[in-house]
Amino acid sequence: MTSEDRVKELKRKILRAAYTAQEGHIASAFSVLDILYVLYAHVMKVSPSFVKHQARDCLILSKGHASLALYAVLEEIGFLMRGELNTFGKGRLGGHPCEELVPGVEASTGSLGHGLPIAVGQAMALLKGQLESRVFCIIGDGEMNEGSIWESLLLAGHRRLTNLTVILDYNRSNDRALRLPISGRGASDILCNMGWRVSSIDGHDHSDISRAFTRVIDNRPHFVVANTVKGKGISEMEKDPHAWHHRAPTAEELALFLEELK
Amino acid sequence: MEKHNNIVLLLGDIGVHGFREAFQRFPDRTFNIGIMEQSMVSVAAGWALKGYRPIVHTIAPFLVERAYEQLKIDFGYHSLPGIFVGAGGSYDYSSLGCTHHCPADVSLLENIPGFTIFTPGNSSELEDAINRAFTRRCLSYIRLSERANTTTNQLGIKCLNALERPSTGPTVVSVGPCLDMVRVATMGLDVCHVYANVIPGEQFKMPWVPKGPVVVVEPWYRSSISQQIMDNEWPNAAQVINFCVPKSFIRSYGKINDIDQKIGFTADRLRVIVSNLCTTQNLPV
Repeated sequence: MTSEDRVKELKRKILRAAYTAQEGHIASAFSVLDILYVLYAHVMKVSPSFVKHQARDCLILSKGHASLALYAVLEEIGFLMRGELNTFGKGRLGGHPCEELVPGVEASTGSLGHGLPIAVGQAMALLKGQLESRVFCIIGDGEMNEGSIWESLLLAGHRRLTNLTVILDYNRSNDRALRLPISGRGASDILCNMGWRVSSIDGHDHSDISRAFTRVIDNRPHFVVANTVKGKGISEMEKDPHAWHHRAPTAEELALFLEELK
Repeated sequence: MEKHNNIVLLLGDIGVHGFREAFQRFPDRTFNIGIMEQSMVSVAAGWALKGYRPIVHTIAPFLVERAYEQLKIDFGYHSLPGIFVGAGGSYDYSSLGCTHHCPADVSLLENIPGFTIFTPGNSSELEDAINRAFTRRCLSYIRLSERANTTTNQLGIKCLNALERPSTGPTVVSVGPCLDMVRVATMGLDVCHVYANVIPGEQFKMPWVPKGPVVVVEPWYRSSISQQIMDNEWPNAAQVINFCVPKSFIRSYGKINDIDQKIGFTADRLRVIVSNLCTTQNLPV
């Protein structure tokens, strides 16, 4: 099975879990799923046998409502029990991930703007301990309205947190409120001036994603703008992402969506 | 910080000069994060998640009110240990206006489950508070203040009278650095004294069952202490009265005493209240 097929399978699992629970932020999960999968499967030094290992790589899903994507990947990698995704909404897998309950979850996110500064603190601590670990943090474009995101970007750039990689799941859902000054000509200047190395990728292309995370010699933290589509893979969601922000499919819709993912 | 090399100190560009020794001696564990209190608290949580013991210090309103959600979620919900030190209790910054006042810190933090609030009465009690917060791995708030008690007491909630049995007079509960004012206010009156410098998450436990009325004196907005005392099932418990900073914005400037006078947080006013209670009980005034 290719990497892309693997992700399709995860999407089917997510849909079933969300349908059973009648709960979930599916469209957000689908915009971030490829990134999460590639990170866990191909990039990060992380393992279910060493959940709390000091030298592990860490990922914080700062846009915590995309939890279904995180859980699907954690189940795939083996942090969760096989089939546990189907307990979404009932067991320990809540609408937003809980650090205390779920192995592999590094911070209890859900309120936007918290995960990134927590990641910054972790990156600082790892550098102090002279550990080789990397910290990855996924933020959303809506989340980038929050002041604490910019505080964190200022801080991390200034302190040259070279072990920190921030990935913006740029699915443009925030455009209806505020257009971020990070696309278009000269846009990466803002982040560069704040001390970041900036890359731009197709957030659904697995080779693009892998390449972006190859470790390079650079004393700057890394900001990856991942151009994504909210609800990727389901045409109805791609057409009307806001309607699908927090909505579970009906039985008919589930059947349709599963068919589309074949 | 010398004894424990897992302590990190985070400042928000305030108090930096005061902590210059820490910057010199522990440069890899002392950080001036910048004027970003919300992120500073979250960053501290990141350190705590990696096994360090963060101490965060800045002016109380910026720490407690501006970064309240971060205290609630990144520390409270995550059950992480952290020591938060707020400077300028209530209206210590008496000439700077409301933006620098925080009389609500205690009552706000009481509503984050898991927080232990230390209100040391002077610098010796402060030292004890820091040690206790560290050794017990509490999520704690330590409230600094310009006011200071001349006598030092242990941490906790203690009876101060060396009595074999408590009198039936009023009991005055002094919380934190208001003990000197209370002593002045109650000079010559037959009262029992209780002193507290920790506000625990669990029920505020009086050291004995008060036989008469209780007056709770707090140099901040009333906390839930008086309600907790009232909630106890004491058949003889009479009234519980609060003497605290009134809930209103202080729109004048001056020295701390000036504001005390203005808002009525004075020994004179407290004396009137306590002597009335003694009178109603036919006690010598």
